[in-house]
Amino acid sequence: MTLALRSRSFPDDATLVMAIVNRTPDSFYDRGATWQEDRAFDRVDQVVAQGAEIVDIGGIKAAPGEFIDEAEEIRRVASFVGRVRDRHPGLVISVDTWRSGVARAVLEEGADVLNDAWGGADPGLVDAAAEYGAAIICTHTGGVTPRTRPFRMEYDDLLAAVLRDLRHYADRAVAAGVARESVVIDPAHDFGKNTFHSLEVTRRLDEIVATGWPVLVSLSNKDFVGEALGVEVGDRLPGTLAATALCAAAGARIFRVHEVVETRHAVDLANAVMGRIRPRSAIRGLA
Amino acid sequence: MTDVAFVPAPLGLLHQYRSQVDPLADVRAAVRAAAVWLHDRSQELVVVTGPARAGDPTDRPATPPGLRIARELLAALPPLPVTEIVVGPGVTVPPPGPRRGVLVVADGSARRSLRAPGHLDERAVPFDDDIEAALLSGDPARFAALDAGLADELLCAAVPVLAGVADALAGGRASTVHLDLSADPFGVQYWVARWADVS
Repeated sequence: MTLALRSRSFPDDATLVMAIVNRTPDSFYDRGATWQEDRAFDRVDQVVAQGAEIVDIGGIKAAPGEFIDEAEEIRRVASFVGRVRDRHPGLVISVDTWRSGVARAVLEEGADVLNDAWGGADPGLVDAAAEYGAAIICTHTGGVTPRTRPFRMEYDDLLAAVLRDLRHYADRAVAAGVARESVVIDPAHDFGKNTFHSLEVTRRLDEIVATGWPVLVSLSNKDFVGEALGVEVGDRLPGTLAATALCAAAGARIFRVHEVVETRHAVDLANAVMGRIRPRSAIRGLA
Repeated sequence: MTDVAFVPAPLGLLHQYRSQVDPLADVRAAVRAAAVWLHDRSQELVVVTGPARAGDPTDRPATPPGLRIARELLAALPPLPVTEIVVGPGVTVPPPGPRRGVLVVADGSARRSLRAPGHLDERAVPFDDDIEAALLSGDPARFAALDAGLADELLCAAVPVLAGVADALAGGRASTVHLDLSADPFGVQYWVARWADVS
């Protein structure tokens, strides 16, 4: 399906890299490296130069921590979105938020996509997306409260629950007025899931792709990678890229990442293996 | 009188091996232009090439690369009668005829650099220089003097092909010669050349 992300559309064979840009002092991977606005702005320039099609700007870390109210979240991200929009008119800007109030503020500043990592916790988020002609990313979290870790979460049938909730959220977005081609689904690795769950949604990602909705995966340096390999944050890139290649082979369209270049290589290699794209430039044995 | 176009035979010219960024873009452009030139001046065409050489004969495609390259080139142009000749024992190239164009698909040695398919052989450059001199002379008889044994050692399949062309054009000479391309970007010598009005 053609993907319409407000300011830009992409053909149905395009894979997109979404670079994470944190406006937080405490996110698990970068630990505040882009908390200062100018640092975050430099990060945007960097990932655009590296070829990212989308940036995903977040003002609150996903893990539990200091309470950040809506006004503070807006203060962290809204004007920053406007600044990025001015600098990069053709860049797709996503904002990682579950709050409809924040959503309206960033959409007013030129954001294109609402990345709801928390599975529709605020039911009004779809209305904000519809009002502005924006895209929305619908995740599965098993109904957990935002900024909580999974605690003894179990599913009688994980994929059935994931598929049911993702379809329901996507349908709800369309019913609210979001364009069908502006709805993306994300099984949300680690959110409402233990490592076994995240490995299963990776293994069975083709079933999620088969829904027909474009699929985003957010794998980058997450705990399921660390626990699968027994490695800490900082040593998870090879595992992340392995999972990325598997998801690309299964047909994922958008990859939310910290490392843009490495991800692009993994995605393109997987798609070249699958025969979906041509080699970049092949002459070995053909000269 | 007849016209002759000489083009190389890298598999990378084939559609099945195309890349996002064409590593043979310059070569492809020159080859296409030569094919168009020959086609526009001809009422019929003879394609002359050699057999495939690499790999187990039982595993490789039945049609040699030179013919496949020629077929793709000509498929993009209005149809003309085409005779395909794969030079070998007992196979001869038809004599020249009025407006009968000859498309020769062959290239030079493949041992011109350390990264060449056949690695570096210092005899490769002077060997190719002899072929290039023959191409520039417009005299098909010069092809008959090329060293077939050395050609084999240098992974050059062109010599029997050029010898077959020499036999067919014996006594003739091109009135005009154009050497459009002489390059070895991957350690294999490619030429794109045109002989006009061989008589």
